Amino acid sequence: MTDDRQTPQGDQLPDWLKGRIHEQPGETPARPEPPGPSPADLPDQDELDFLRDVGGVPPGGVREESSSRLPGAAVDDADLWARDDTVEEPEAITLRGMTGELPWLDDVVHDKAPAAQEPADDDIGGIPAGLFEDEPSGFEDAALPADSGRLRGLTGALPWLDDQSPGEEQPPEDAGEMPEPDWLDQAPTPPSFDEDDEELAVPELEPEPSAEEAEDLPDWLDQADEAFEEPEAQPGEELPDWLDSMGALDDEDIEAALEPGEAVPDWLAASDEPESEEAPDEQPDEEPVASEAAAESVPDWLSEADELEEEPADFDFEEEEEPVLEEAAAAPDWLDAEAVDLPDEILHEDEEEELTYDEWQEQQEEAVREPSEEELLADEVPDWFDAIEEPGEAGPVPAEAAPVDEGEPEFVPDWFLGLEEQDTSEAPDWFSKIEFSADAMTAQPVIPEAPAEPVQPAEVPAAAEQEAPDWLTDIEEPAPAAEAPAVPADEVPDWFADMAGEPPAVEAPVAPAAPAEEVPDWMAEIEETPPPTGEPPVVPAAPAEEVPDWMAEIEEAPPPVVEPTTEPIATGADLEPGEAPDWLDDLAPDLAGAPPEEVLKPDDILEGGEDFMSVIDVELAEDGLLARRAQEAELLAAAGADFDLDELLVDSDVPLEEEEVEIEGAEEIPDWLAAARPVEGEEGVSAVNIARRRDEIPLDELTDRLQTLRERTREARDAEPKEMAVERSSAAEVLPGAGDSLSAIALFEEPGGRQVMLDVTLDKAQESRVSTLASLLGLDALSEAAVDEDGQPIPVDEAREAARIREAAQRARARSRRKPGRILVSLLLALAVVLPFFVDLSLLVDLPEAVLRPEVHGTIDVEIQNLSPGDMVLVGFEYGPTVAGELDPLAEVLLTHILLRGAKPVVVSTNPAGVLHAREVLARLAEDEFLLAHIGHPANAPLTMPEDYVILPYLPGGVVGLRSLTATSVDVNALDRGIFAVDLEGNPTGLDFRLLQMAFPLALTIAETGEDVRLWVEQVHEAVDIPIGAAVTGAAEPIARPYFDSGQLIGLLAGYRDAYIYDTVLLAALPPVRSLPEDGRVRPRNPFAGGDSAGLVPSEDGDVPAATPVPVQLAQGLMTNTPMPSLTPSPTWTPSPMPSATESPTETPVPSDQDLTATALASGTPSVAPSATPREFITATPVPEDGEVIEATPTPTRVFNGELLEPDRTYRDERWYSTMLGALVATALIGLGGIVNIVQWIRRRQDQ
Amino acid sequence: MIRRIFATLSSALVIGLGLITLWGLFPGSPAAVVSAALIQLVVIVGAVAVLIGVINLLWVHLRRVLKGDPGWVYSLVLFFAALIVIVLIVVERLGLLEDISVSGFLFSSVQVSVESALSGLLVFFLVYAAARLMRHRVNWGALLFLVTLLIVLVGWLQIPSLGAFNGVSEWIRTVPASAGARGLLIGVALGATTAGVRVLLGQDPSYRE
Repeated sequence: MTDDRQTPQGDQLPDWLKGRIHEQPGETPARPEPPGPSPADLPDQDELDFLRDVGGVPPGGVREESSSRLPGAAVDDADLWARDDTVEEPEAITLRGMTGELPWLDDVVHDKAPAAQEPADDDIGGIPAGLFEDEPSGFEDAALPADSGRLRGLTGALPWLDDQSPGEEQPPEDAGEMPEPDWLDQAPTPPSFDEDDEELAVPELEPEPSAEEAEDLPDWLDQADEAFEEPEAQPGEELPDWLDSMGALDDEDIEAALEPGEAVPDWLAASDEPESEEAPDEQPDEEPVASEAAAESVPDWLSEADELEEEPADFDFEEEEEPVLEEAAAAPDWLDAEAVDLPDEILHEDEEEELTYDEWQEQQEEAVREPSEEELLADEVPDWFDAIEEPGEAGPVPAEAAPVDEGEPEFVPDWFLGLEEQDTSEAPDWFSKIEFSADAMTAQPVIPEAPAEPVQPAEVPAAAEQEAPDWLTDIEEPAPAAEAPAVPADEVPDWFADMAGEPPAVEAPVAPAAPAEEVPDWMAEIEETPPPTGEPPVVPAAPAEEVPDWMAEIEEAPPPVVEPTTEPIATGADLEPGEAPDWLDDLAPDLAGAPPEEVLKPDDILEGGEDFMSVIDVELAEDGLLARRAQEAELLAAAGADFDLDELLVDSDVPLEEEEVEIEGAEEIPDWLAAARPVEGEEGVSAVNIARRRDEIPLDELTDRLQTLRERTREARDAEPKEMAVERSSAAEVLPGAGDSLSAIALFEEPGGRQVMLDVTLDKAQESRVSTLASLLGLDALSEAAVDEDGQPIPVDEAREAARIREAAQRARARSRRKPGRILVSLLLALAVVLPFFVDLSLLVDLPEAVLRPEVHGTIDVEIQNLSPGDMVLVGFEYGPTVAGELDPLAEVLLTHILLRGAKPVVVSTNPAGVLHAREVLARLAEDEFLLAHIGHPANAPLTMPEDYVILPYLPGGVVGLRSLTATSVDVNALDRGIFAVDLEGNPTGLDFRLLQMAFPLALTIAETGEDVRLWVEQVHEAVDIPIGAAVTGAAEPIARPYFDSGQLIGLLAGYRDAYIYDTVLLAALPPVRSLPEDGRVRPRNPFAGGDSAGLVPSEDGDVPAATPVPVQLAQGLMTNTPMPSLTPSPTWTPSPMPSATESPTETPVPSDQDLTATALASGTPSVAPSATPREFITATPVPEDGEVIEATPTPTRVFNGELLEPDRTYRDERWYSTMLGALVATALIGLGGIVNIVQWIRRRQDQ
Repeated sequence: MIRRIFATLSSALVIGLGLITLWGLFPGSPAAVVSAALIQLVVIVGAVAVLIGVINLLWVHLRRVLKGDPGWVYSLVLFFAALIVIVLIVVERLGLLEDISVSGFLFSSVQVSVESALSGLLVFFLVYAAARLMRHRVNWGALLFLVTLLIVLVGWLQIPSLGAFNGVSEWIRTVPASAGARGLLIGVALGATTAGVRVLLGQDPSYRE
């Protein structure tokens, strides 16, 4: 085997390794590394990720598969790689085109030697475009790197490979000295090719990644490194689950767990190979000693041929062929399609830590040799390959194993690791000679000499030489002439020698720059990057039945935009017609025989990319590749692979251009999303475009399953309502194509509205709700009835069912109307509220304590008590009729107190209804005889506005209106008095004050809400510093309480209870009073027993005071016994019939008209008709109707002993009892309901 | 362009007058007169707005009656009721109805009665809702709410046997409820301040309307 990584020649280093050299500063020289998953395999791993994404990697892993199904795979490889030589680089083009940006791929390509000699590299480094097709395999489910690799591949976000870009200076002259194909370098499992060579240990070329390197590497790579590169590492720490589990399993477990088709990356397989326990035992027998002299100089890749030559008798072609396929393990799935079981090496992973490098090498090589399944695949070897094989017992490949010098333990120099950070002077000569310029890198590599190890041309039939496929020549072409020229040229087969000595097919063709306007964006980005020097991917023209998936994709997809090729492509045209194998001529006669300038020149590719691809399509179609592809798709479908619905949902009839969506702010779209966006034109290479191109697959080529799915999807889409189209379009703006795939729910429109008929998924909560609704509507019974005795659903009569549903709904509504609980609660509450008015509940409920506590109620009573007669109190009436039942008592008691003090309340309100309600309240007070008696007003002399009180009109503006009160009054030079100018009825108030705080020593607000209190505090109290007291509802008390606690309110009264308390205290402070004669108007003494500053003090003397001698000013006129029709004498007083009589204080007036004994003057004519409520003494002389003049002698004064008055507090206590009892019942109902609910809830929980 | 100029001028006018008003509210400010005048102007504008609102209300319902829209009967009742009250008040103000307060009678007999009755129904709904509070689900929030409600109610009752709840009820009303109310008021004050500042800085959304 020729393990490239064992070659000490730097130019033979794989590109990925070179990239690592650049990116690892100060890396210590490589030491023997454990197997495969070394960084060397990283590119392969990444590629394989893509392969796995598209199902290209068989479950068994590439490496195992390559060793097991050599023939078939070889055929595929051969064909494709042969096409690689004959066709230009559509793979790389397609690859880039798919994502638009694959920097890691670019780097790989750039790093590689001229592509003409590296056909296999296309399969590895430049993953064909078709590989990106989302055709899953079993691998992707298990391997995290597969996903990450796919993602990165699609997005191009592979920073770890960016460092591999060969932008660094490299010896330009050695551009042609890098004949070793990258695909060989990147072959994930190196060992099996040269089994004899124990020194062909991969690990030596795989320096242990340093910490810095590990940081630079992606996560999956780090995990891989930890798991496989370093046996000391703990595999399970950072490894993905699947890898961790693998590492933790025993061999038996793995064998039992892993099925042949299970996903195992090839690099993992490679890593496991040396761990095979059987390897050491079998190695001595099977592996020839690899220490031949020729092996020292022969490069690894040539050791294959040497080995074949040296083992003509025992040559097992299949065994020998394994390495080839091993190296192609990273190739697409067509190599791996017939994967076999995992190699045993994987099963011995845990032993890897104990192995030395040599042991590992032995195991690895031994494991590769497992020939168990090779024979099974022998039939798949194509004819041309058989032609090689037959003579081959000697082997067509000069595979004399002599590549590595065993005595060269450090074939990897120090500069190997971290070379990019090192001075290039430390690099070997060959490195310094390498030219990394675009021209040099893209130039056709010149193989100066034949391979060092002479090939036995005699053993190779001439036919085999001539028919040697290009892929085979590619294997040998990359032989590093400079570093490993050990094979003499004369030993090289003719065909190989011709190849080696052949001048480059294309002279370093740098990609011709396309016109700027023709260059797509993604290409422009590429152009901005350093000139790519990688090899061009080649589209192979393999037989149709052997076409891989990715090739099928190319075939199916419309010709993608051809990326400017950067290097010549070794095609069949480069060969002489006679050199090209027949099968190649047969497959692509036009390509193989066509002049290079017509087919292969990059200019042609750029200019006629479509034609180029069309040629491929034609070829593939002619060869039946489409059928092969359909078969493979069917296999994938049978394997349960998922298919992209977009492929089926996108309407192929719609031109792609029409489906393109202009997205605003596209420049702000993240890269990953931008990469997925459709690109203009059918040549667009975004993932979306490619996915859409799949629609071009003829329907007849789809499998039955796909066709069925397609039809069902179309039906579902067609059944969507139009309203859904809007949503899809909006979704499509973000993710084109996503909206179509979201239309899975079919909506059927019915006369009564739309219903979701299908694809409704309900969670438990929703199911519970549905069940509840069904129970409420009685649908559960209906559903039960819809099943016959056998449990079979009865055909539903829609009309009948609709009628039953309606009936059920009506019953449900009827039940909803009958809510016994609600009725019971209402009845109980009503009874509790009404009952106290009929039943004495004094024994059950106490009356509130008649004490105004300053800490609770404040000092409102004191402030009012301190008012002087004539003072004005600003009263805000900020409530309406809705809370009148609660606040009216408070308002009445406060206004009563104010009026008792002789003060004048000035009522203002920002509530229109409040103004009217204030008038209502004050009207009642104005006629309250008890109040009137205390303030010296006779009953027939009610309070009037604006003399006794003022109700200002509605104050609009809310908070501004309140502010206007202060604004008006603060300014001494105000133009007007503002709202104080007129009262509610439009009469002049006569209020003339300059400063509000001087005019109003006190302000009260009777507010419905806390917000009203806040406004008054903010706008009135803070503006003019007027003491403000508040009377609020019980609900507003919590909001108003903070203002009282802060001192902004002098007092706070809340609800009916405080009204009751205040009124009780007020009444207790008032002495008894008797009614006053209507004809008198006096201002009595202070009605309160206590002093002014003492507040409301209960009267000490509870005795009824003696009748106050009231100077009665009798009418001067005559009082007739027959009252005037309009005269309504007050029943509370009786004018003395005697002109000069003085009533006794104890005399009780007779409230009877008959007692009117006033003496009327017989003469005189009354000039003024007395009013109903005489406010003034009648001075006119009434004239009887009969004309008789009644003369009376008026009494100037008299002593009036009025009726002892009681305040009108009807049902005051009853109201209190009603409130208390209502609250008690409400509390009981709420508590009982809560308890019942809790118990029911607990029962439900227990039932559940 | 004109619209933008108009909007700019309007914004400048509002900001300027607002600043003047604010300045006039400071004690001893020479702009107090202007500030008071502006505030009075706002009050007048508010009164006019009420008048416009009433007219608009009547016009809307009148149109519904004329168009025969659904519920036009109610609109008709509203329209005529408002019209009657307006007429009565006008007549009353003209002194044509001596010593008879028709508007007061209507207010106390209709408005107050109806609103008080509707307000009285609230207690039934509240009690019923509270009783069914945890009918479907029992959680800690509902349980806490219910227990607090019961304690406050029981404490509010003047029942000697339940006097122990008075202190708890008092504490709940004075501490937690008061604290919550304070927080609410502080939030309102901050919001009002912020709104005022936004208006003065021209950042109020109303400027963009």
